[in-house]
Amino acid sequence: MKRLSMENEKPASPDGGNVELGSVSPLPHLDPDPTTAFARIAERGNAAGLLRCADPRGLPEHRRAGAEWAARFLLDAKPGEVVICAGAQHALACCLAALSQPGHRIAVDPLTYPGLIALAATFGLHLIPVPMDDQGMLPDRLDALCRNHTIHGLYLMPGAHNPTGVRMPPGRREALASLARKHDLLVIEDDAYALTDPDRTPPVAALARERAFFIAGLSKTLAPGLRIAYLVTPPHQSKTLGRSVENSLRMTPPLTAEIAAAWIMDHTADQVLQAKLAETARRNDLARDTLGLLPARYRPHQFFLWLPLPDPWTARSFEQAARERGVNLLGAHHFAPNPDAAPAAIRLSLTAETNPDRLKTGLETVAGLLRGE
Amino acid sequence: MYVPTLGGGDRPLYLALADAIERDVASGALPPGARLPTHRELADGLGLNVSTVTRGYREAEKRGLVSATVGRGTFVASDATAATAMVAFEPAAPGTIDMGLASPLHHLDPDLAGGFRRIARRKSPESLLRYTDPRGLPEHREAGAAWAARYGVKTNAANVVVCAGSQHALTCCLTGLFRPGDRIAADALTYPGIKTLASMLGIRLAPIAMDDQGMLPDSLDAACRRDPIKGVYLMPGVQNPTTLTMPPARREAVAGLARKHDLILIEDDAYALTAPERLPPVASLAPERTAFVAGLSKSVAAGLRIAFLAAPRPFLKPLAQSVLNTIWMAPPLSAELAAAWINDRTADQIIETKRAEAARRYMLACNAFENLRFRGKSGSFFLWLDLPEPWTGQAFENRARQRGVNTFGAQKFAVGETPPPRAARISLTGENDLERFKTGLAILADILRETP
Repeated sequence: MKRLSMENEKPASPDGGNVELGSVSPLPHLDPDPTTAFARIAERGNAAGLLRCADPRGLPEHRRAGAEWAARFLLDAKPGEVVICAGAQHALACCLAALSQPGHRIAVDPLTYPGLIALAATFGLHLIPVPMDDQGMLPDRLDALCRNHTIHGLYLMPGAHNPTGVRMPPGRREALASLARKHDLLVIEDDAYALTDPDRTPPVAALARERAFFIAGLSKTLAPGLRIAYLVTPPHQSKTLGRSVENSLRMTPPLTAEIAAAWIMDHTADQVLQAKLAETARRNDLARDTLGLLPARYRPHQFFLWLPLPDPWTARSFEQAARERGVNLLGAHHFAPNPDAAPAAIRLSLTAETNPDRLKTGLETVAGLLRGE
Repeated sequence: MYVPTLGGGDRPLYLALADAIERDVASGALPPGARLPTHRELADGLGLNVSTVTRGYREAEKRGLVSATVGRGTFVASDATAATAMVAFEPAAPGTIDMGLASPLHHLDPDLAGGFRRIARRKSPESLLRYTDPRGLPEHREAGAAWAARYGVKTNAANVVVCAGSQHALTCCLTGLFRPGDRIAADALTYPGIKTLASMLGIRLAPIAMDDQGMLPDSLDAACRRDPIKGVYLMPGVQNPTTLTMPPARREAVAGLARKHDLILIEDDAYALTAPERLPPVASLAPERTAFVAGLSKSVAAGLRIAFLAAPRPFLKPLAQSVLNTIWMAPPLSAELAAAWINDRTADQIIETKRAEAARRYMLACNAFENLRFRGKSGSFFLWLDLPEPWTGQAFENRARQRGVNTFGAQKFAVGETPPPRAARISLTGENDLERFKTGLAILADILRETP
């Protein structure tokens, strides 16, 4: 049965309707004004070039911008290793299409990104959960799994795990990189929220360049509607992924890639990121005060919070109850390869509601439900 | 028996096997049509597990090198030596005249700057930068319904899904409506993009014989009775590469067979809008089971990467899910430009301009090839040129390249083990510059006066 696991990931309705604490639309009201970008293209000399299809990996100046963006994630990439994809979801689809076969096994965290779960179903892949602790996936458990089964790949979100928010420290990253080498695993690193950590450390991909495919997304920083992400491949493998881009949609539109590149190179993207981090600091404070969060769970710039639920709540029952009280949120079952094995927990988005009063109301409703009101 | 030499190194064995097959195909040691050993035979010959050989053959199939038919065996694909990419990664040797790719006359594209000035006046342009419904914004789906009507497909916004170009629309059809391992019937000679897409997704194309009206109903019927075929891919208006137009009675027959065998129809008529006549699409004969790709690439602006899928209600949810799973949603910015150009009729003007240019080029080609046999029509972007014996498509392609002209031999379009006819697809639109185009025509005509 095909799961519509991303059904809830719809945009918030701005005028009334439920408070949106489900999807992690990233503070859209702080996005840059597109009219200047449009005007710039309108005045550009060879705008016509943006309507042509060329190398499916992208135009050279756009791939240079991609390498520049990857550097924000502390990954040193050459433009020749960058493939421009139509968003991180597309990058993930291209990786799986190019590099896997039906029946392949991919090691994942016990809870993972719903977009991967949906693609695994499309491509006939098996997602094998490996236990994690508060530093991320447990190396011993991954090693044991790989010694007993043929595992082809490893999917990681070390900067900010979706949905638990766990951040993987450098030592753990090294351990997993070395296991990937030992067991010849393909590594797909898809760290959409990594830039929310001002103290971020180099990605696993930087430790295992020969086997890692890193998705440097733009959507959680700005303008998700542009649909642009930069896939960094191991040296000499960009052509293979270029073919996947070509097979799936011929080429990521040069038009949207142009706007993204302009905003990266003129530092608009950096400024917007800073503004959004400042705003998330305010919202995390609000959440901490409203929900009475323990210090371990509080971090200044999270886009979403992970909350275990007290007995006898289940993820499904809490999601339902919240919806009835006017709040959309996502239960853990959306993130579990096996939904029936999901823990009793929920993910709350702090960034989709543009109106902070509605955010506060939503958080108070959740707090009320948790208290048993 | 073919026994490949597996290179050393620490690649997994099944990949080493696929690599060896790729090398041997490239070198000619394994020619197209050659039969590979059975899984068991090769396993015994190389001292491998049968399962390793199975995985290796499957990887080779994914790369477009071999094609496997249950009960018949595994054969090197007819187009195995063709580049699997549709567009070269490296630019062709400088000065090469492009008569291969059916590029859409970019120098006649709509004015992008004007397009942007127009959409900047839209209210709330920032909504073009946000996450939206994977099916597309309502106003864009309206424009999509209007665009489908240009093709003769009567539909409404509720039945339209916005995709990021025709190729993406095909990706959504194949991932949304089919599973890895499914079989889709296609013309024996067909659009290379559907072949590479199908092999990437583990979907098998079953080649169906054609005559001068297109796909043969008896062959389709026989194929469906022999194998579990789930769908059929059609280009009835201007078939790529043969330029054939499927007449109404034949369309009825195919629609009838689709009903009989409960097939999903994918109708993709990228070149129809500049063709001289428009017949009712197969979608209008079997709307309950046809997904129609209403593209803009070949008629308006390829780089925009927007197409509209018009489909019956039961297909909409899986198609929207596919959009979501592959790219989340088509960029609303691109869709906005497309909608603006459709609504203010810029798109129609561009179609007319490109049609007139294609017609001019068709006349020039008719003159250059007056002693040769070919199929084509005024307004189509390519010709299907019959090659006199003993020329093969591959040999013609090679000789043309030596003389500085890029062209596509029939082998690039052959599905599975279909033996390619002696033919080549000559693009009339690959070169913007008319003089270079004329030179290209002259060179090709000249080649056919030689003996290979």
